[in-house]
Amino acid sequence: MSPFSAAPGPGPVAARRRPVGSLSGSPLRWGVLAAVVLVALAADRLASGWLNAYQLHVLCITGIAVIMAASLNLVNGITGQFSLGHAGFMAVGAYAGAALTVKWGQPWAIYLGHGTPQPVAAAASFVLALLVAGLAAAGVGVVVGMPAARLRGDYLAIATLGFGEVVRELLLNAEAVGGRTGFGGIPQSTSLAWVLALAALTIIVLRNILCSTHGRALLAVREDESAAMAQGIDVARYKVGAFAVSAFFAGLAGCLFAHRFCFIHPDNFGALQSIEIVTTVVLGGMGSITGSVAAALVLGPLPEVLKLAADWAERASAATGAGATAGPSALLAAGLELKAHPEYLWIVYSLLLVGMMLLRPQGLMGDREVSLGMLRRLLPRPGGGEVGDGR
Amino acid sequence: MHGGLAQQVVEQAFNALFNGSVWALIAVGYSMVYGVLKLINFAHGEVFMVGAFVGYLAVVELHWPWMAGLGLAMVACPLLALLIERAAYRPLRAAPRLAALITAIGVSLLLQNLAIRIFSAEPKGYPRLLSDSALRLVIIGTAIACTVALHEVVHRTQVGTAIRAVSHDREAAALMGINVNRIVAIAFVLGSAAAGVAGVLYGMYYNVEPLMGFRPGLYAFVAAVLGGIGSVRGAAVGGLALGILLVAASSIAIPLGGEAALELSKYKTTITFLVLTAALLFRPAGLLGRGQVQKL
Repeated sequence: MSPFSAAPGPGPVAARRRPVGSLSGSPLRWGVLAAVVLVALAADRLASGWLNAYQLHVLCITGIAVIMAASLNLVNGITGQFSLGHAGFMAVGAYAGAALTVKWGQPWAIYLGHGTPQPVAAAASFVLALLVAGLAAAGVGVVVGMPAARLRGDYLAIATLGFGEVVRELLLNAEAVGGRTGFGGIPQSTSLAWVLALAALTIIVLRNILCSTHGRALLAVREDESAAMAQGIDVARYKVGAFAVSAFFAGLAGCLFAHRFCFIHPDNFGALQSIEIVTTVVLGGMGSITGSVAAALVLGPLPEVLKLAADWAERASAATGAGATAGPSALLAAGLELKAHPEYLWIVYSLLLVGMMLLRPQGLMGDREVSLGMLRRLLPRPGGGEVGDGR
Repeated sequence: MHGGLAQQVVEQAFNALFNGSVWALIAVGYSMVYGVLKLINFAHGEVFMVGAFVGYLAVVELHWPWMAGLGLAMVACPLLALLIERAAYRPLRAAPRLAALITAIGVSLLLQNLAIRIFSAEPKGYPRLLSDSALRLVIIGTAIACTVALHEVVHRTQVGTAIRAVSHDREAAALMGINVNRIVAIAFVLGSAAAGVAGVLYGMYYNVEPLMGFRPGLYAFVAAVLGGIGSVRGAAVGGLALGILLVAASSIAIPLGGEAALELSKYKTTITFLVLTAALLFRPAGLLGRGQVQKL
């Protein structure tokens, strides 16, 4: 399991891994970034032609779930900590971004000058909101990370769960951003293109971190803190750093969420939401970014899919009438039951959590990644072919 | 308004004692299980909730006297806890501790949502069997009786010696011929019986609902850590300390100038978790605990 099992230390592994499939060279990096944006825009165009508003909405929710799961994986999977308060960071980002747009969006846009076309001004304002959201969440991440770096596994879980509850309580009492009544009037700036581009950005950044010296250090912290410390790794700093980066992306996701739903409430970001994200990471495999992404692609739209199925069952049974039970009546009954009791979704989640731990604790993917590198590893590599990484 | 100051102080002290008693009763369960398994039993708050529902069913559906409901909960909760331990925790005893923690979260979520499915999320009230102050006295008395009894069991009986041995060093205890599985089961039974009692009494005082275990569970956990997790006395002291702290904090309002004031009573969760963080950082063994050297 350990990435160090076949290599003497993090240095050589990092040095050898870096060129393999990494985005070396800065022109190429910008090229990749531009390509991501173009693809996202193109996908947005195509999707808005084919899909209705509801389907677009579900896609956006799924994209946000991808960002949340992938970013939590940096802390829970790669660094081996256990955070149960990821929704708290999302809340910080959502409220920071939304407050900026709603309260200061217009004054700020004036600086662009009156000749600026409206879409450009809106985009610039949204970019600023995203940055502020991410940085606010990252700042909170540092504050939470500092004590958290000194806590062990299960205590850390409770402390971070508490952090999420604290954020909720503070927001419930913050009258300036709506308090108990929630915070509305947020413009719907989040389009599918934004979600896709930022999800891709999140995955690329996390992957590059994982493949860098820093990523190796985080893995070392996960495998054995004492050994990592003996290697000269500043364990506390890396833990705080992981929290900050992970919180940054959760903040981005929160800002996207706020500008998608146009209305946010502290209850959108409670303990249950945090557990939902943890479930996704656990299911995908703690340590596998692609695993988290895949799990988020399944679990993200699951509530909406179940809702659709339940609605369909209700319509179908209304159409056939109470007496005539045409078609697969057991399925229909299941759908109606689901309609009456949405808590089945959570029963599924909890069974997934327990079942995964009992049957396949490493998650579907373990800490492997699905990538071109996986295929490349099967082929003989010139020079470094014998350095497997023990997976 | 100031005439009844003494009366107010007495009333608030009563409140602190009452809240602290409930938390202490739940905290004992966290402490017992943590002592023998070094596992935070996340589902403990839900065992408390199930206890409240069992008592509710006995009193409302079966028309039993509330004492009998209490007894039924004291039987049902240990059975549930044993089932959880057997099905969800024991298979993972050799696994990394995070695996058991995740399972515990899963079990907690499962119990909550099964309860919602069976009883709906609507809060339900027990019939009014005792006056509020009588009930509070009963809760305080029960908490004292339970913690004293458990403390005696742990410190004066042979089973208690075995529990302490397992909590000190599980492998060495097993080598000395102690049946570790049996001791772990006993720890679960004792802790969950206390939680069942707390659930019924708490439900009689407030309401019964599927999510009722979450918050008291968290507060009780903080109480257990504050007092020193792993010891019965620590749970009692921690519960009481947290009760006093929150009641004291609730009466404070920091003036912000003009009409505005920062009422601390609105920030109980924040205060509780600041206490938890401070306790974990500065006094990880708790108010009563002795420091332990972390071995590699």
